[in-house]
Amino acid sequence: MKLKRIFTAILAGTMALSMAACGGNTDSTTGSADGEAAKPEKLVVWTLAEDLKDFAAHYTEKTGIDVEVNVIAPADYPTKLNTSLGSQSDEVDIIVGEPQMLPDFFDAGYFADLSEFDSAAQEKLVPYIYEAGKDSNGTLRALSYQVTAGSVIYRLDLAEEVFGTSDPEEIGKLFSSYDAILDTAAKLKEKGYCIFGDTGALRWFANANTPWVKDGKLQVTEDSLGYFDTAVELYQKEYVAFAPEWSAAWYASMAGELPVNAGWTALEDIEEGTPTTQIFSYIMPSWGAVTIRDNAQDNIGNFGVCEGISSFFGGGTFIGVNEYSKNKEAAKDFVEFCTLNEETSEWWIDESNGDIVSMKSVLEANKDYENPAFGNQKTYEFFMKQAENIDYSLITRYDTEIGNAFGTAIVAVQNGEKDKETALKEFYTTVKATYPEIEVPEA
Amino acid sequence: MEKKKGRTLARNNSKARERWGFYFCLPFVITFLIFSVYPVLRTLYMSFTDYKGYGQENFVWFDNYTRAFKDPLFWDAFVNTLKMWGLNIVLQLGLALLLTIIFSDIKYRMRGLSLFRALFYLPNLIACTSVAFLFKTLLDWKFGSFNQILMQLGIISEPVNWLGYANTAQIVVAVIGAWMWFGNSFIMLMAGVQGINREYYEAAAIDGAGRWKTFFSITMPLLKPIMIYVAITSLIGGLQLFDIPYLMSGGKGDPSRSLFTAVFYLFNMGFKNRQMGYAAALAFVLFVIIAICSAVVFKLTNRKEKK
Repeated sequence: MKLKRIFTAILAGTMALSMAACGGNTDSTTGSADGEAAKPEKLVVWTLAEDLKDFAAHYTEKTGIDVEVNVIAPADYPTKLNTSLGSQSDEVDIIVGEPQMLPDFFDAGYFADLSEFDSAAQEKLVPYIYEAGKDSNGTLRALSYQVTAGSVIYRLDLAEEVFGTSDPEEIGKLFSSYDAILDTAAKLKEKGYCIFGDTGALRWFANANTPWVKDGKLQVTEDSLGYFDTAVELYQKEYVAFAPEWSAAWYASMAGELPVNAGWTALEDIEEGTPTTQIFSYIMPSWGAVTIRDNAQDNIGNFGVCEGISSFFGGGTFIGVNEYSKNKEAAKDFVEFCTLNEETSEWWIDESNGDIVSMKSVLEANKDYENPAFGNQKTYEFFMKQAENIDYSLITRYDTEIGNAFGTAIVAVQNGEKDKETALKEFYTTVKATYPEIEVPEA
Repeated sequence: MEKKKGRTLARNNSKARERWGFYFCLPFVITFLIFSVYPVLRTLYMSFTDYKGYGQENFVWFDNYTRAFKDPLFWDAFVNTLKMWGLNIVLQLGLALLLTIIFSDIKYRMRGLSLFRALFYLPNLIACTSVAFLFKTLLDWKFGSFNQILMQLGIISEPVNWLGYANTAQIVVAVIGAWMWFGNSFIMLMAGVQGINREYYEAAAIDGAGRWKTFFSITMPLLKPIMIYVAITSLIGGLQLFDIPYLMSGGKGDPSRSLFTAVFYLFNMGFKNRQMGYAAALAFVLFVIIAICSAVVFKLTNRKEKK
């Protein structure tokens, strides 16, 4: 009998525990507004890149508050955030998002109101950063310490050899339109060089002047069709090196020669005697410039930056506060420290060895800095101008999936599997099936 | 009186023992309710809403199901799944059958059945991620070993982009599936063969039946139920094909969406496009299709038993 009671008690305990485990987060919001400890023992950050580890260490040094930073792969990040914050968990205090993730996160109510920083952010930060951090009602919810304005990064020596000049203004003209890009590619090919690693480099200009979706309608414009046709022609005429971004050969190209047609193959698996070429240019956001600098080896200093068809930006870490955090005020202090503090912004330029910060005054103070990695070009001045030209209204929450579907259509035509008309028709079908609320030209 | 008391006690003891049975089942029942029944019911509920994976969920009733039946991409993905499964099952069963013929032949008396059974089953034990990486490396367009071998043998003159075209990419996935699963089918077929009464073979030998006559007149007909079982359970698994196409296409389903399978498509809808309600409806549509296939299995099995 006694044994039976003990057994029943254990079972009841197990059931109670499992129920408690299921519903453990339900009252986690209660401590968020009032009665907060002035100095929490620890702040927890979930982020997408390693950067915030440095910021956290700097913050701990200054304030004594411990900050635990967990870096989560971008592909897993939305799921992790939705799973945790969907149940109103307070296990994290500071959360982040890339621009294309932010509208969904804002709608879900995960990012706390940062209106108290509104005027400071508007005054101090590059305009598109301030715009990107606001939700659909205009409430500020996230801020970034960096701008990720894009550029065409080109090889100075190859520019001199093929075009007789390496001046950014002149080289910019070679990338000012799709026709100009095709001419440039042909001239480079004559000399044995490739304009890009891969045709995907052009994707940044697909919606250069019009968003993919406007007033609920899919916009397939001259820009996007120009990208389509140019990508196909560059591929079919073999004007590119067939080394996709982030492949081993693409990294190797920054230091000089790379094998032709390497694809994703590891360099050690490529046969000896494979013909080689050199890549003239890379089209990337400002973090791409840092990648190139870090992989250029002896080629460092042999690059320049210029404008392409239009100004653009890509990626960037926007920081906010978990709506359900119990340490909201302290978390807001961390966000302010990372994004609105001039001393931190100056520190980050040194610490990151060249990241482009979002604070206008700091960019202005550094605009005359001549960057030795880029032939002593004034890169801060350049990126500051690019960032000012960015039109944030071109960004929509549909961009990633629509961009991928458009890429699929381009590849099908490049391979010769489909003609342009069929591929575009399938693209419209894909968009319509994925987002029934979007009106497409034909489906 | 004492007898009656004894009977009551015995009855009480018996009831108490029955109750203990229930207690012992409880941990399983609780786990099953939490981790199996609840998710299924929750998915069913979600399929009637516009839930995005966050925020509010509003009832849209059958809108998601209507959309699923009209969604050309879902049905394309379903057809892709059937194509890859179809080729896979032909190769998988064909190879397993061939090996069964060799190993079950009483005249050959092949040795080392246990060893070969283990060897053939090995690909099934390798993680899908490793298999996908291995085949992606082997089938690399310009520098992959497979193309190099074919070129050295003079079978092809130019390297073939196996994973770059819809048809070849689907064939590759089917072949990988067959390679991974033929060992499993072989074990089942061999178990079937070993269950056949040896007297049939002895009688056939006495009557002067040859090797092929014995195989087609005795082994094949008696193996038929096992083969149907293997084919249909493989269909049920095949309809849930996800990992290899997902890994081989880097999560994009390309070339030309040919590697999108039904489950891959619903995964993307739920976790990439944040349309959980619709993904739940797709899951239930698939569930119905799989349930119909399962019903076919039971019907075929029962018919055999009745005979």
